[in-house]
Amino acid sequence: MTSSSSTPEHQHDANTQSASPPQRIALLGHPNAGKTTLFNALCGMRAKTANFPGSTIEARVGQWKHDHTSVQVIDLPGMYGLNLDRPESRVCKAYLHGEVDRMSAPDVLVIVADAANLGRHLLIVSQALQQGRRAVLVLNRIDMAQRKGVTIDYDELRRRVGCPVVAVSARSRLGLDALPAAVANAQQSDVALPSTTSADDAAAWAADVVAACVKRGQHDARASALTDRIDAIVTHPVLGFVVFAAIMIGIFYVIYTLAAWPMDLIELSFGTVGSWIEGVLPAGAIRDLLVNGVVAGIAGTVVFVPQIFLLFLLIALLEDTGYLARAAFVTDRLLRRFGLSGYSFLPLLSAHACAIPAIMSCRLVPDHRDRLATILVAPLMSCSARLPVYVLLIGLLFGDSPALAALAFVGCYALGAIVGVLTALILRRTALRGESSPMVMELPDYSMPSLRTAWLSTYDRTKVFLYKAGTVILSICIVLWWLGAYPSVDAPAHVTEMRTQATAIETASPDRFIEIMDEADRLEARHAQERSFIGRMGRTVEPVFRPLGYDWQITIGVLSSFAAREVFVSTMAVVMVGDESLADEETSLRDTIGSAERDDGTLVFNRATCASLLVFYVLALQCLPTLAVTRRETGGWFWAMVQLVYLTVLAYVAAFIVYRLALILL
Amino acid sequence: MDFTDWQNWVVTLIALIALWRLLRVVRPSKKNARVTKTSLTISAKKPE
Repeated sequence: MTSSSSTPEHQHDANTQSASPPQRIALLGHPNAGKTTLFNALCGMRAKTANFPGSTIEARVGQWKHDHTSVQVIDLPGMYGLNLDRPESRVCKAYLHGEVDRMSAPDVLVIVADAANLGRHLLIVSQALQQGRRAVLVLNRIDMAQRKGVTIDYDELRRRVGCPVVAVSARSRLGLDALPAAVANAQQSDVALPSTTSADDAAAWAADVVAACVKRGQHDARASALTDRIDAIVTHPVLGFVVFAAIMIGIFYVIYTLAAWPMDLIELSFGTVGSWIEGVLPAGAIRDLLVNGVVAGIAGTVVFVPQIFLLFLLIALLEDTGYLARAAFVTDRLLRRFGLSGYSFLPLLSAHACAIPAIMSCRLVPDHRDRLATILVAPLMSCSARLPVYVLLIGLLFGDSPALAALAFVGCYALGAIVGVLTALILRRTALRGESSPMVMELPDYSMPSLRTAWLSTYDRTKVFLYKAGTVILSICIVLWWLGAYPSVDAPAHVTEMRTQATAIETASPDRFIEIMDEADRLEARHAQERSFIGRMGRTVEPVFRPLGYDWQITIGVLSSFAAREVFVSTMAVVMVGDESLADEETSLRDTIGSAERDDGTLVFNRATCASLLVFYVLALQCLPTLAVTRRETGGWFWAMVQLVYLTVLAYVAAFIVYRLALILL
Repeated sequence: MDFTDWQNWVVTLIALIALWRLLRVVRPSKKNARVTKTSLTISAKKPE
């Protein structure tokens, strides 16, 4: 603990006021004060994320259990001041005044400040103390302050702020034992504090408090010099981008290499479950639904979890080191040219895993126009759900050339990102015209990331993704299965004839028997698919997609994947192979699809069609959950419909142009 | 469709439930719709 005139946990004893034990406490402070780390240290896994009613401002709510009591803890969004014209400031102030529906105001306000940078945090401390609530000041990262040679006089600080002061390190759980007593004895500040309307008064008061309570040693100067030297590189206009690009490439490399084996394992596990169900249950509609609807639906969502989990984990770790704030600063220069800001960086990065959490994280973007533009272009970033489609189509296009295939992969990601920022530029110069507010953020000190904090945050986000996306995708798969399975039709006459012929030669030529029976099964499945509700829909809608080179079979794939794009591969497997289990065997599926023929005998997936389809899937908004999240985050259907229509028309036109060019060039 | 096969009825019922869940995503419940009308609405704020 930093040397001081007395230990801070004893300081409230002298001025204890009798009050009822608090039932609810709220954590308030700067974005980088360590509130969430403190919240996780107190509540662990017992937390859920909740919205303030009527807003997209998020707060985590958990239970802090200690000494046989349970206290509700609310982790308020980080903010730099309660009186700022910012959504989080307005909502938090209303909450502290008990003006938010169905959310009771806290009994005790726990103000979290960074002990190593106390001066910067005193403005919000003074504002929070004037909200008429019992309060405790928690000085977090006391271990870091100690390493930097910062000494705090807690007695004097307590006297200046008029409430208990507790020094902790939430990351290492140092000093947390003193928090229950401090919270129980929290009191309303009774000292003279600067006016909340005068920035000059507040700054003078903060400087006065720092001068009286904080002493800085030589370590502090050395640490600052090291931070400055690192910042000179990572925030440099050129070198900063090089470092940023290297880190991003590293993240994606790790994601795609590390996630490969758990993804294979998940696919294998679900394949085993499907086979087991087929072995246990008798043939019938329920077995088909379970294998091809439910198991395939759950597998289709869960298979992407390793990639999403890794991306969230790496982002959380990177955020904890303090680098992500620098990355936002570096990308701010670039994104500003396209009408966005550095705040959009994190949502756009997350969108490469999944657009749903990315759109939700747009709440971090303070400017409304920036936020809206980011939400609208986020689905253009190539998410992991597009991967199976890319793998299939690029394999068909460049299966014999790994270098060209790799280039095509990079091209897909680049196309999405380039069209995304250009769309943002157009939006900011037309429908969302106006100056965006400059990015103001505190660059936190560099620190070793906490695996516990990163794990808890990743677990929380992955759970939300699984629940929100999983339930929707499962429902889609069940509905699609039904539309593809009904109305059930009898096998066509020539298939029945094939089976009769096969039975006749079963003893003489068993291999030929199996071959003919397999072919008969495939023809029957294709016939049933063609006559099913979705097959008829494909035939009806086919003329719309014919200019892009798609026949009725691809049209079924495009239609079925409207709600979730990854459904395209399994739909193609069903339509062309008649056996969805082959969707896991990429080579055999690719070969079968690659040699599938149209009604006129030409290849379904010729090179021009593959190129057109690839561009269509890079740009189209084939994701119902994304649309639903956009509706929720923008407060209505208008922008969700704008997003859907714009991206669909863009994808259609681009795919048409690519198809026509490919017909000439390929 | 074989109307005498009870399995067809079961899977159709399950598909209808799945469809209803999907429609709920597109069209949220009245309870949620009422929530977005409070004075603290941030997300519905139009650009100035």
